[in-house]
Amino acid sequence: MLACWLLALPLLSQGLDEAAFRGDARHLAAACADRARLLRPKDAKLLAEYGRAFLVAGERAKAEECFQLARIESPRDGDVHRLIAVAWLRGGQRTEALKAIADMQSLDPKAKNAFTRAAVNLQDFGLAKEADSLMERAWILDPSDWQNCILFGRAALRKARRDAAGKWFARASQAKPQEERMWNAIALAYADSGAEPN
Amino acid sequence: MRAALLLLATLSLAAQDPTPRPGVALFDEAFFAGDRRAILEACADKARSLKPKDAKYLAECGRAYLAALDKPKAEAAFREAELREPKDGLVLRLIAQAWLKHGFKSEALEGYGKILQRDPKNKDAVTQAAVDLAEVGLVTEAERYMGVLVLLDKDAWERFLLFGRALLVAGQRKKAAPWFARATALKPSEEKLFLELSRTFAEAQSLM
Repeated sequence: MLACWLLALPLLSQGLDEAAFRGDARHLAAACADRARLLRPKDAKLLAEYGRAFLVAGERAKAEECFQLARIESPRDGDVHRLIAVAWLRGGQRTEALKAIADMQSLDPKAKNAFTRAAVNLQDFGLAKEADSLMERAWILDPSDWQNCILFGRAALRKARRDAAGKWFARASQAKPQEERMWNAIALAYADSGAEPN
Repeated sequence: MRAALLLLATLSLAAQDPTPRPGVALFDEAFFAGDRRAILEACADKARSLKPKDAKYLAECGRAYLAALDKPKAEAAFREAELREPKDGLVLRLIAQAWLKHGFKSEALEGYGKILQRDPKNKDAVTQAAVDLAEVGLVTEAERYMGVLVLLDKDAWERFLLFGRALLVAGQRKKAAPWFARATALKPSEEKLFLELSRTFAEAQSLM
């Protein structure tokens, strides 16, 4: 372990200057993920995100190692499995992504928020059928959660799925008709054509 | 007696009639899959009819009206929001952002200017103003707000990162680099910083 740290010291002491940030984007993503890992993160979500950066940089072995560490750190946290799925989706690896989504559902079966976010991710990456079915499962867990309905409806608008958006906005409005934030959220979803809020 | 019976029959028919009254939206799936402007207007009307206490929601209603191309209603909502919280930089920013998003540049710049006049120490509002302006390519104006922020807090690495990201997404890579370098110089051992940087460059790859 000490040897690892001694080897890592030169990298940690290297400054990242303006010129470095003008270099190759893939290389930068991997270099920043490497530096972050040298700081020895324990958080499973952070580990999953480093994996994602490595995948983008084309370093699959390092990515899989991060995902494995994340799964060991928090095996029953649905959001960790979702983040792993997102990484695979971004890397164009549909089979691995759907495996991570299946793990999420079996290991954290009541995580309605993770299910919703995963449904949004699936929809964003063009897997509408899988997204709809996962969102239905999230809704069954809590039909009164209007925020989740809006999140998914907004993502449907983003993908020009007007009918799907209509269904989820109708559900949101039935869940909490006297909630001004809900009406505002629907209006702004249409105002932004479903773009991610900032 | 006959008139009373007729009235009763009419009332009972009216109670069964599922047709919405004119001007009253029926918020079902078909409605939400229908005309965008009608949805925007109806939802903003509904939100306003619930008399929002928070000025931020009023400002957001205004944005929905602007998107529905109903400028008079938007202005009324913005006026009311500003009247309630004239010195809240975040409310002023929401109003300015609404103008900016819908192409009213001079109204937007005037709105952002109010943040510096009325709530100049609000770091969140100043940063968000800079980010909004950077995102639409108004780099000189954006950098002016970041200059104000630096005077308020020269160690705000998270805000520098946010601003650098906005510049990067707007295609201003050279302008983004000094803000990233500044953040890393301030926090060379912060894992969240490097994670955010790796995420930013991974996502922005297609833009470069």
